[in-house]
Amino acid sequence: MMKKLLSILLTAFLMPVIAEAQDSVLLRPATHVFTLQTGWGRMRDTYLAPLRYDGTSVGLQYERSRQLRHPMLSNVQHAVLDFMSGDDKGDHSTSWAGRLHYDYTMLWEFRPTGRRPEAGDWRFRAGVWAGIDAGYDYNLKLVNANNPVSVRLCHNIGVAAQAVFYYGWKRRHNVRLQLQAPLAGWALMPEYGASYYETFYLRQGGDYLNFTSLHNQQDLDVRLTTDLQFTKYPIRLGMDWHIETMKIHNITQRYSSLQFVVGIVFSTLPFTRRQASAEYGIDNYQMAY
Amino acid sequence: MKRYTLLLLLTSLLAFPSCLDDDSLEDDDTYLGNFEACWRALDEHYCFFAEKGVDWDRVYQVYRPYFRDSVTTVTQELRLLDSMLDLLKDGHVNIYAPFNTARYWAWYEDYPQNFDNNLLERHYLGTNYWTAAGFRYGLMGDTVGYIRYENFTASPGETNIDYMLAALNMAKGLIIDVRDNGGGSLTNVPLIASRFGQEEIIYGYMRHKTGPGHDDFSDLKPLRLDARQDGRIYWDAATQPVVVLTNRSAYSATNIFVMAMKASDGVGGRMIKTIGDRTGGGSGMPFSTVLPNGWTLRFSACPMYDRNRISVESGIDPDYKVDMDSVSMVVAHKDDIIEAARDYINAHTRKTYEAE
Repeated sequence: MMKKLLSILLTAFLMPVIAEAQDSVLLRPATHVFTLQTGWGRMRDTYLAPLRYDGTSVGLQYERSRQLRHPMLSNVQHAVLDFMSGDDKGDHSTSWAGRLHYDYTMLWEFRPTGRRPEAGDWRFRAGVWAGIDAGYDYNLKLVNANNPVSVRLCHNIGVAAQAVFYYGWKRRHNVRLQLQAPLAGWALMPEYGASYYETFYLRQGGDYLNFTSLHNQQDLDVRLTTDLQFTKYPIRLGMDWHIETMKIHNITQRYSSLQFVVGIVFSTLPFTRRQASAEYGIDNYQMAY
Repeated sequence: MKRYTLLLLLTSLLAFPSCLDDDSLEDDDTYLGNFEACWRALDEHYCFFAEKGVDWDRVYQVYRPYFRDSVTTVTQELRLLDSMLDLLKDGHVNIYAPFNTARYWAWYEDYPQNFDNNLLERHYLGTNYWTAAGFRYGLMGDTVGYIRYENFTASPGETNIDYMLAALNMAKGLIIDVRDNGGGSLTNVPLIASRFGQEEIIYGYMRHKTGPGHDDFSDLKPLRLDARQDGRIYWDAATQPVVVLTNRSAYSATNIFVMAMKASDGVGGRMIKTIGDRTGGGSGMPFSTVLPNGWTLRFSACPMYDRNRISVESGIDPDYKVDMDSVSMVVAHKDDIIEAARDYINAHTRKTYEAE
């Protein structure tokens, strides 16, 4: 069973290489999406305090997706920079958190209609990703303490899925639902009562590097967006739910946010018009999106 | 039907974040809730229950009814929490409220002070001492070097220490006065103490809680003084004796500094002694948390031990116990502890001065 799973994963990763060898000329624009997001945020880190902090979150995301030489495969690079600020229930103390995330996703496209999607068509993609997540939580009430900050660092592989519905004239608009969740990885987490003095200054051992899986890490990122193209560049509107929970060494970290998303989408080709004409013999092309 | 399905899906997604949170981790912002949070934080994180013989469950049974039935103001609440925390007899256990700080200071208040800053400044330091990065230092009349280090929160750089030791190099010996030094940053301990030896030594051990149980501890992890680094200036304690002056107000990081200096005594022929009174203790590196009412609770979390793996939470005895005599202090303007240190250095120095 394990062998089968490994061979499927390996095939998925090797597909672009195989495909590259088979197909040499194909216009494959890269789609870039820059989004600004803001909304509600919630955090709890029992390394600092068992209290829940609710407040606002604001973030920036960048997503680059590109079809690979194999027409059914695409890759997505996804980077997130997020900040949260929240107060406890009684409004007595404040906590700040930040998060930097990057992942590389390989998606396989499923076409229920068996042809290139047109208006009214669904497009489904699913695949695997690998990424890194780094963050901190800083409690203002603990400024002078030995544990004012909690640091997070984890590296995961996981699954991702997309469902895209194209609509409107020339399928210019779309609605997409994207889901992403880690399956396994490792995370840096101090032992229950270990101090950062021991961790960073004394560099003493301890069980800091921890295997993570669904038993101790349950994260989910859900993005429901629509791309509306009324001008040259489509705009992206939507919502993003992000949930991170980790429980290791009896330390519980929970972060969640619900953000409204607004952004811009544009496509680029990895060569200039002159190169396109000289190398590929293409004189008139439109940036496909 | 499709529309309803989509609506249901969206509603579920909106509700999803709250499903994953667990409010049972948190107590309410009530007198009872704050008591419960304070008691539980200590129950799960405090590191000296066994050493101090405190039955924390019994404390819960005794104090809970007061918070449930009797407390009606925040001042009462703090006073009662303070009396509960006093049972731990630990200077590192505090509650910081906006109007007052719950504290236990009997570790020095119940003992003679053995230090007079006015006497020190007027009759020993004078006005010509040098000062840098928290140190005040100079040479006494009998060429005994003197360093006053008042606070371990003052973090010196390596270069500060180089200059200071170079300036005092001609001294017969060195007095390091850490009386009334209530502690600060633990990182300053090896930074300073490493300059009195050449080789790496283990001066103590530290461990931390690995779970909420009272006996859930990690293995002991060594605390080390660094070996000699090229380009740095070191004190030759084998020829120029070092005396560390202590009193009951030497607490926390200062207590650990005294522990580190005592561990160096005798290594490679070093003469490093402590004179004065027993230190105040405080060997649990403190952690803090926040109570539901926003008050900050501080507590000992990571215990430290000397090189023989013995706890120094209750303080460290000096090599030579000397108390300050009030008559000699007032009449003769003498600090008996400094005088004892000078006598020791004059009797044991091996420093020779070549004729120019």
